[in-house]
Amino acid sequence: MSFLKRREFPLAVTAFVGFLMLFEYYFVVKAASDLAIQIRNWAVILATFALGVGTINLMVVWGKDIRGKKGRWYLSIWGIFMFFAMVVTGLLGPVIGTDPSFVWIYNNVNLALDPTMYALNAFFITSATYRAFRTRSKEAAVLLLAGCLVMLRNAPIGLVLWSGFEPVGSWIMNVPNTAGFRAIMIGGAIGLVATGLRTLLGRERGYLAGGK
Amino acid sequence: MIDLSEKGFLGRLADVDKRILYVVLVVMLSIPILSPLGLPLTLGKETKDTYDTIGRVPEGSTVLFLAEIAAYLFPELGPQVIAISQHCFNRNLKVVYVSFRQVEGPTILESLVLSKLDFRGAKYGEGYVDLGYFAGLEVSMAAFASDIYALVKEDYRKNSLDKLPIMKNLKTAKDFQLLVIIGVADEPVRQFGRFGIPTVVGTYAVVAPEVYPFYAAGQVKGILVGIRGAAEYELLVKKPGLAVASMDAISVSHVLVLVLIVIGNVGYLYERRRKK
Repeated sequence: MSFLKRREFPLAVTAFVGFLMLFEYYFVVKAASDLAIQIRNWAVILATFALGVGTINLMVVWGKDIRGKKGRWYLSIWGIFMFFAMVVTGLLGPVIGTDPSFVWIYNNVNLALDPTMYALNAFFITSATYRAFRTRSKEAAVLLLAGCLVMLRNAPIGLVLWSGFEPVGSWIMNVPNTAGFRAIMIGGAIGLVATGLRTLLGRERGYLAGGK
Repeated sequence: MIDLSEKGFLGRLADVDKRILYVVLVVMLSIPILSPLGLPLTLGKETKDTYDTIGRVPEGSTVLFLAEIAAYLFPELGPQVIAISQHCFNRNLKVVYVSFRQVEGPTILESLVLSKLDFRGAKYGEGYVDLGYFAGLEVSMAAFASDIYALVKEDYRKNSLDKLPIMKNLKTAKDFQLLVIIGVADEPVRQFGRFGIPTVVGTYAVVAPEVYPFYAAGQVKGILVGIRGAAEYELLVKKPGLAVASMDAISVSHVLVLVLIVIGNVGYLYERRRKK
């Protein structure tokens, strides 16, 4: 079998690029820096093409829904129409995304609907906090109390009720919160180092097709 | 005497229909919109540190501004971008806008942010520039940080970098004197932090707790936390806007949530006692 088709080839490429990036980070060698810069720029180009691949995939999924009349397939027709409307209007004019028709659609459709959908979370959060924030145990009670104190620190009405919410809320954010997140981040970083080393040494093959 | 065999009023407090909660929320949030409460706003230490950090940067310095705004985040992050940008222009700093996470960042910047700023005479290409969006997250940040000209050929408005005076002395991230991160902070801090540039972060309230370790360690000099931080900063730069106008609604919604938590727990604890 050709070497390019064998599984050792992607493992070798991964190891080479990974160790090059590590070497370039710690040692100042012009040849390594130049090569690393070039490879990073290739990665940016690949990531940009991945956006296109994602778009094509979306079209395929919508197309299947329309052909099979699955679920709310008529919304897929609307989705494809709006997609091409944005693409066509976005490409008009000397600079992409500055044509008045594109700006109008973006400002009056996207900027109106996107935050609106996000704002619907207000209703879900209100209902969820009412149902889920129960003092089922001592730990739950402490968590609830801390959450309430930080909320009152963030809302201006907290100052009106009691000036002590500011220092108490600040203490909660700067001491126990920082300690907890610091532990999570350090733990995550150690795990990342371990996974990275396994990937560089070819032990971690999840990114290969089939994972083998 | 309370009849413990039936649920009663207190027991039913734990089972209020969510539709009633939604109606109460809409009614409560309408109050500050129709009649602003004008509650006082204190200045947090994190916001003050952000303001002082930008205040210490010498005039004429260049700021790398990661404006990672998406449409759904604009109500929370948009005011932060506007307020910090205005402070930079008030101090005669040059600003280089770029986006590595949000593909909509440059579009929103051009249509909604730049139109609201007083540039104090700064011209595009000399006092500020929008470099656009680069895909790849940390890879594109690392590529930008190590060699700007290798990654970026032209700005968002299709001007070649060679024709932009602001980009003349900017080759790597080390050439910037301030880094402003709007959005998620850990990836930019990882990629740009090693250059030792003073960094301030504006982020949404949900993500803010994970920025505090960087703040405590000194890697981040100041934080704007959500819309509250944006409101404080708008008052500091004397440009009250959307964030200040939203604070009354924040107060009302927070009080409502707290009241509902108390009501729910009263009902829950009563039911638990009744069942015992």
